[in-house]
Amino acid sequence: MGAGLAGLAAALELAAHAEVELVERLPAAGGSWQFDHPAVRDLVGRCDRAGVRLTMGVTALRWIERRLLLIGPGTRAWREADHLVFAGGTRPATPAELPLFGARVAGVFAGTVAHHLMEAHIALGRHLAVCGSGYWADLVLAEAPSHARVTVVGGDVPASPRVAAAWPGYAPVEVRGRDRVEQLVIERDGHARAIDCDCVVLAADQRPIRNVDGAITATPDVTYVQLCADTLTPDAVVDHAIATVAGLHGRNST
Amino acid sequence: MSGPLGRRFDVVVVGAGVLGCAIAAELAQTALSVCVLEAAPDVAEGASKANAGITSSFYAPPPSIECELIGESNDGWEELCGRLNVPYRRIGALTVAFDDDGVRGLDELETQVRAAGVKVERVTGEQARRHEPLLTDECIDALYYPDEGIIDPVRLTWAYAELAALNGAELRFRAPVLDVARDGDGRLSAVVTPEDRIACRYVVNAAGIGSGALSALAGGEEIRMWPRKGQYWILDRDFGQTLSRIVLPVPTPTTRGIEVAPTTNGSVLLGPDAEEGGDAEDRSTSAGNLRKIFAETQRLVPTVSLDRAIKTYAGSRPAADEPVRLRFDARVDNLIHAGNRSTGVSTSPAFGRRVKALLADRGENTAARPDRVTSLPPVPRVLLEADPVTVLDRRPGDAMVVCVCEQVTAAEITAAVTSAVPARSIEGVRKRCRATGGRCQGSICMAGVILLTANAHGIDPGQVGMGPGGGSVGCG
Repeated sequence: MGAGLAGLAAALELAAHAEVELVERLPAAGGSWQFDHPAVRDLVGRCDRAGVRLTMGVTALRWIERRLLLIGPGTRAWREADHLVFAGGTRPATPAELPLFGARVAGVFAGTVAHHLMEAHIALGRHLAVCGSGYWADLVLAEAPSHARVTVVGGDVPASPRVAAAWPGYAPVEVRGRDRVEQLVIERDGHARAIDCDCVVLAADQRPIRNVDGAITATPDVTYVQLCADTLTPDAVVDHAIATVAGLHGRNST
Repeated sequence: MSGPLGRRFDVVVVGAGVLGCAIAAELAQTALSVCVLEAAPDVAEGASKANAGITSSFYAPPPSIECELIGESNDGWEELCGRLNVPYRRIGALTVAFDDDGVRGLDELETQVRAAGVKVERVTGEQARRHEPLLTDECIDALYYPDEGIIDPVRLTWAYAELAALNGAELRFRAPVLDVARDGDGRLSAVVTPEDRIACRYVVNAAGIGSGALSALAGGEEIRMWPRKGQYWILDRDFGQTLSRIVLPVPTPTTRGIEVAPTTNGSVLLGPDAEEGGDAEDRSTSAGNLRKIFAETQRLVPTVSLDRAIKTYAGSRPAADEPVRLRFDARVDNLIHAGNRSTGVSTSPAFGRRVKALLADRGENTAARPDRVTSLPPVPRVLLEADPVTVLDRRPGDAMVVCVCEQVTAAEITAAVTSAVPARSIEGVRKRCRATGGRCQGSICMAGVILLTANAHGIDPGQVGMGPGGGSVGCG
């Protein structure tokens, strides 16, 4: 499940030993690497030649007794399988996971969401507080409009000229505001300070996306291929995927 | 038809919470014309949203109006929720004691519950653990209420509002009552909002925490009110699937206590605590309160874990000296008070019928119109279907999943943003169909939800509402 680099690499690795179907929610492979990334194109071609069945535009929702529920405009089916390899990608931590308390107001976005909205040229604020560094933070920093003031909280100090202020080592702990975020309280070693902002982007602390019921936490018939790190290279993702599924094909179906 | 002179309605209901909407739904099925005014941008923005989603079988001992109203409401949930497409399950609740004090508390409670004629069983700790295997070994004695249920309180409020609108009621949002007009006899003749002056023959004060202020504005009785803030954790459905019953401690005089409750969408609620006073608009969560809530619920169900936490939230119940109000004002002849500090959801069906009866007593024609609408069109909810394949094969166009965590299709979101009382915000979509409300909290689907909402209303994505306060996605 998941035709990003990790899912493609895992599918190819397993295809020599088993019948493999690769299910992807979006109409194209690539995941966060995009369909035209050379490593993605290469793996898609090799998967194709190795007999991997690619099923695009279909969402996997449930994994129950070795049956995977697939829902999409063209496919509505329970697919039988011996094993589920879950390569659903990663996302930044949610407020509950960080944990970040305080007001529930407009203007607090997951890095994934902020990226999509900025890509669509929707102005999210004049003063952005970006929490964390790495993939999603970099995208947001690159897309932030030139008039926006950007403060980075936690993570590494980014080299970007877009950053007006940085608070390395700090973690966001509380959101303040009435209708929209007005301040983000950040903390390091018990020292708190409030920074003014009208948009908070949560891009810290990568977590594996888990959204197939029955495969949320580890079970013997599920293997997760989700490398969580702030910065990833295609090689690291592919190597991790191959290493994770190596040996799976030795396990006989029961 | 609103214009400079406004419009005339038989009844203006102030407040689009669960009580205001239930009352409007009931009255709109008669010959009476109904207008609902809500200060917030959507239905269910006060206590109707920030509650535990429980349909109580017992709350206050008899004789009390609360006891009567719960009794008049509790048998009808299956029928009502079936008709209105509201998730509901009668799963039963356990009130558990850990020690001798608790056992004495249960003794007293059992007497009250039996006097109310509500089904209850006194069970040993061991029997209680058979009802709920996750219950702590510390439980030595318990009361089991088989008729207690769980409901989606926001879906219920929205469904009442939809039913009211489909029967001709007008619902206006961002319409706080700023002033009233009175005739020579001191009766209310109109209410004034920022946009309009609305003439009316009756005003129903279902303004929740704002009820005291509205009564004062209308020249009515003094209703002393204060917010009772509560905070909650929500735990993942993955854990929720293992919990079967509502688990509560022995109640205190002010609250039913911090409970562990399954929700109709499969997650688990921990909470609420009760913080008196403060600011009614304060919906902020705090680490200190939430840690205490967690510790207390861990004592009831030791396997609860914050590793499974997907969200925290807070809200205020409308506490008052007179906790349940369902009557005409003593000073203003055509003002009806309808309020409930805690069991608003559980008593909402009875509130609708009783307000109708109050108006019938005044000689109003409250007979049901023959052409009234009594049910809402069902929208298949993938999450709640044992086999979505069969459902979606009948409607293949619906088979596009937008929110994977909560298994919400584009069709469900479209229904939420194009209904009679449509969602205009991310929050509104979440309240109606759960999209963005799951374990990733919209990390994957929120942008899509924003675009679907913007398209439905012909607005820019940046103008789509976000958060309960009425802020929007875009800024600057």
